[in-house]
Amino acid sequence: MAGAAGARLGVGERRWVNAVLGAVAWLATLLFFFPVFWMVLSSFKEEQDANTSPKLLFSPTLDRYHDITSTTSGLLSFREAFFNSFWVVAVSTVVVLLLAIPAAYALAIRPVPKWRDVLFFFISTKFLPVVAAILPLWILARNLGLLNTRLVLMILYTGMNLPLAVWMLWSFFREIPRELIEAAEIDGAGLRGQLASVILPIALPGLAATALLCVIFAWNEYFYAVQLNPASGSTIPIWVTTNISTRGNFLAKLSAASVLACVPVVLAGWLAQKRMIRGLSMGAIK
Amino acid sequence: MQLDTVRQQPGAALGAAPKHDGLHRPWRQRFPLLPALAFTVLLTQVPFVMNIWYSLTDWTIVPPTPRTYIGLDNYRDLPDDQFFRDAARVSVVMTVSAVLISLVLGTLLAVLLDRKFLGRGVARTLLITPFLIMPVVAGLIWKNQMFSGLYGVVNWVTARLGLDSIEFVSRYPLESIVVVLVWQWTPFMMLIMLAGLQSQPAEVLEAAKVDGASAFGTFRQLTLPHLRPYMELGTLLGTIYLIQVFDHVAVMTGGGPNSTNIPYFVYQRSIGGGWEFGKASAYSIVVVVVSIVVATIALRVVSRLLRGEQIA
Amino acid sequence: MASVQFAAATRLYPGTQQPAVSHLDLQIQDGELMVLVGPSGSGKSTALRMVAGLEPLDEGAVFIGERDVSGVRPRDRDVAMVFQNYALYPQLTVAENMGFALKQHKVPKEERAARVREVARVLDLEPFLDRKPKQLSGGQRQRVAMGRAIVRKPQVYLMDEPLSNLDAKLRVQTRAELAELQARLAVTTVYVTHDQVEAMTMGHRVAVLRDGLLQQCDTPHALYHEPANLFVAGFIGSPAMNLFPCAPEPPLRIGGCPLDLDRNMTSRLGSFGGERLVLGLRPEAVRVGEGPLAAHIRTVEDLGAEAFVHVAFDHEGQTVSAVSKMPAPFKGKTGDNIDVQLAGAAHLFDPAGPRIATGTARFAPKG
Repeated sequence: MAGAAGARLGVGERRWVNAVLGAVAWLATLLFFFPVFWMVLSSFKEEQDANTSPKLLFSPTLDRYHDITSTTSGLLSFREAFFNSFWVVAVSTVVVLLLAIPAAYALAIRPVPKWRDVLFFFISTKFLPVVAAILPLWILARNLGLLNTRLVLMILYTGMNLPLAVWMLWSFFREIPRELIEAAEIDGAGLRGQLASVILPIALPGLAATALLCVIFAWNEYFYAVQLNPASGSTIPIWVTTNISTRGNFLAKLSAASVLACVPVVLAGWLAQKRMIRGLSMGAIK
Repeated sequence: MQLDTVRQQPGAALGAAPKHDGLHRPWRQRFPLLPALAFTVLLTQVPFVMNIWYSLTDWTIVPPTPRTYIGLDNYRDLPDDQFFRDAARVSVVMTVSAVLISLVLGTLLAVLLDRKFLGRGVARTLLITPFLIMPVVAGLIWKNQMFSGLYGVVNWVTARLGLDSIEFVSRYPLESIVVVLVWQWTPFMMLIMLAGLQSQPAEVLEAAKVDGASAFGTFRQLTLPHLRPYMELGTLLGTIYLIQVFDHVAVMTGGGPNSTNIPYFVYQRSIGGGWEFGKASAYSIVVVVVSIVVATIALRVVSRLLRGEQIA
Repeated sequence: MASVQFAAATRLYPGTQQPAVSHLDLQIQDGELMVLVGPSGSGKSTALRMVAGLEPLDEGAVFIGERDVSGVRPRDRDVAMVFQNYALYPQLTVAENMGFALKQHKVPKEERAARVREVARVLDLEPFLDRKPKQLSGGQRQRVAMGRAIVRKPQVYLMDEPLSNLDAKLRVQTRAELAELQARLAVTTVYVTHDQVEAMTMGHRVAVLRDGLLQQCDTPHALYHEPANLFVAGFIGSPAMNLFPCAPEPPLRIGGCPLDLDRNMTSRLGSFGGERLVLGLRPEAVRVGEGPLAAHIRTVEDLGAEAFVHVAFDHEGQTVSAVSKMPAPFKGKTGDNIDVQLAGAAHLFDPAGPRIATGTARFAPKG
């Protein structure tokens, strides 16, 4: 494999060069990771510990987590936000896959005429700023009675992730050896049969990565959520912002809330690491 | 596998499509694509058309006025709108600095991570974490924990160096936002550049070693040119995503003269308090047009993707 | 210009049990073209890369001239290498590719350009100097890779299967050109290939490697006529040498027919204490159409000037095959019954490998 040739200690190279560069790499890593580390640390502090000069030593407590997950009437509770987020993300991701798989088939396996134009159209929707659509969408949602519902976010997140999913799946489907598809065709399999017996089993890792990426982007989405669902159907990103209060200290609580909000996505990202780059680059990079 | 070069487009220059072609039945072929296509078209084009219509009216909600057609008046007033120009300036500065800085940092990190060292896998996992953090969380954490004038970590460090405590977000709103954006997007650039570094054929690097090139010389003369398409891709994608930043502005500064970018500005003028729907729509259209121009310039990179050339 | 020497050179890849190259002792003379040949996994490429400095040594040493270069960086060794996939710098033009090493060594621009032009002329690359590698054909790229090495005037040339990516016809043509060029330049060259025909036609001497161990290093003639062991005997020469296992008691019988051996072989046979023996004869020592051994034809490969006839017969209760080289035109076909005569150079091998004796053998005349 390429690049690895440069990574080993070459003949005649001084040993300490590698060690120093490794140390620098770790230094950079720790610096970058520090804010996350600090956030997690603070989530276990008492408010007075968090709101003074930075401290490393303190007696840890889970109280902040209790505070933020207990239901307070009138305010958005963690439970409510979590379930909203969960359903919105789950449904929109499933719908995205249901729409994108056949579309990718029609673009990669048995390409329609002008498939290049179609792919370009999909990616062009990503060029257009989200903010440009918010006004008409808000009006439409209001007129259709969809403001402050989970449904409106499900629809929007599906639309948001669909181009990404189509591109990603297109790039994965392209790698399937054509002979396998042709063999299935000869054996009588149509679209559904080919998908079930040949395409999905082979592209399963790619499918998982695509789903993971859709989950990440949908879960983290704030703009549409806060514009359309401020009162009800609110999601986790909104819930996090409610943990800031103008009265009293909130830093530790905010940290705890942040940790809870980020854990699913960070774990998903760590798992999907290797495949993530393909989705992020719209399939340009393997 | 180059599907596109092998497939003939039905009805292509070879003459009329074969009469009984069981394999290619155009509408049957198109069918699986239609749901996704229809959904996307509806969701993107309908709002766009609505925006055009609203932009030609003087519609405001507060105070409520009847919506009357005023033609291109909104557009005529645009260039005089100082706030719009400020927002445009902020957008450009924010996007360009965030993209460039994260590109440079990402490349440096990729070079460091390309070598084998102890715990390399763990380091990589930790390094991509900032990208996965929810943008609102990133904004809030940096604002309150890192940058805070009272108990921020950054000030704790600078105090050790003898400097005064600075309330970063109030004093340097734009720069603070850019720092957070760079923090979140450097891992993204790093992943792209890492893919670029690892796609260089080992043989070429070995040839350079035998030919007498130093490590730095090899990087400058061979690796950097090889990385160019990756840098273009990173810049393109980074720009697409970063031009739309909203979350960080909303939670860190809530607008304000030096940190309101176009997305936040349009939000402010429409449902964020301005309720000037006609004007806001005009802004949106302008933004869309500019985006299309930028996208057409970037088209070159995309068409390389479509020609079937995966970069890696 | 310098000699190259391997002294007990060993390389064990981390995590493997068997060394890729095991205690290799090899001396390459100044100006010689030494071919390293062997099947894949034999360690020939690893040995080459040891000379380049792309592969470290776990034991032993490598010398270029008088100098122990075992720990020296590739760029300080003054060697030039032609890679199997050419490894041309993709973003540089042909001229820049060829001048790259000179540039790294700070050779002034005019001298660089002059040397590049000179080599381009010799290799017929002048029309391509401004092109990029991806605009060239395979054969042109191969010449650029050669040019890049030649322009440097190094002490040693290293070539890692430089012809294996060319089509058959171009390969044969380039082979001859390469050998001619090397003779003219008279620079020590270490050449790796898996193709024994290439090895035999190009090398001044050939080193046969297997599983990291040197089997024999000799001139092509010696390898062909005096193979050191069974492996070399079977590897060198195409079609391969016919090998017949038999009992060591004289007279040796092949297919039931007794063989007359010359005096040298007979005496060696006498002092051989093993239980089994392997007799080897090359196809030119096997003739069909006459002789005491009854066989039938399995297939005939008619190459125009000669034919290789594959026959089968019973030997020690089993069916064995043999290949005979016959001059054209050959009249037999598959299935025909035919007589076989063994007469010519023969070798006796210990089944464990080493050669016991070489001489001539022939079937005893009938009656």
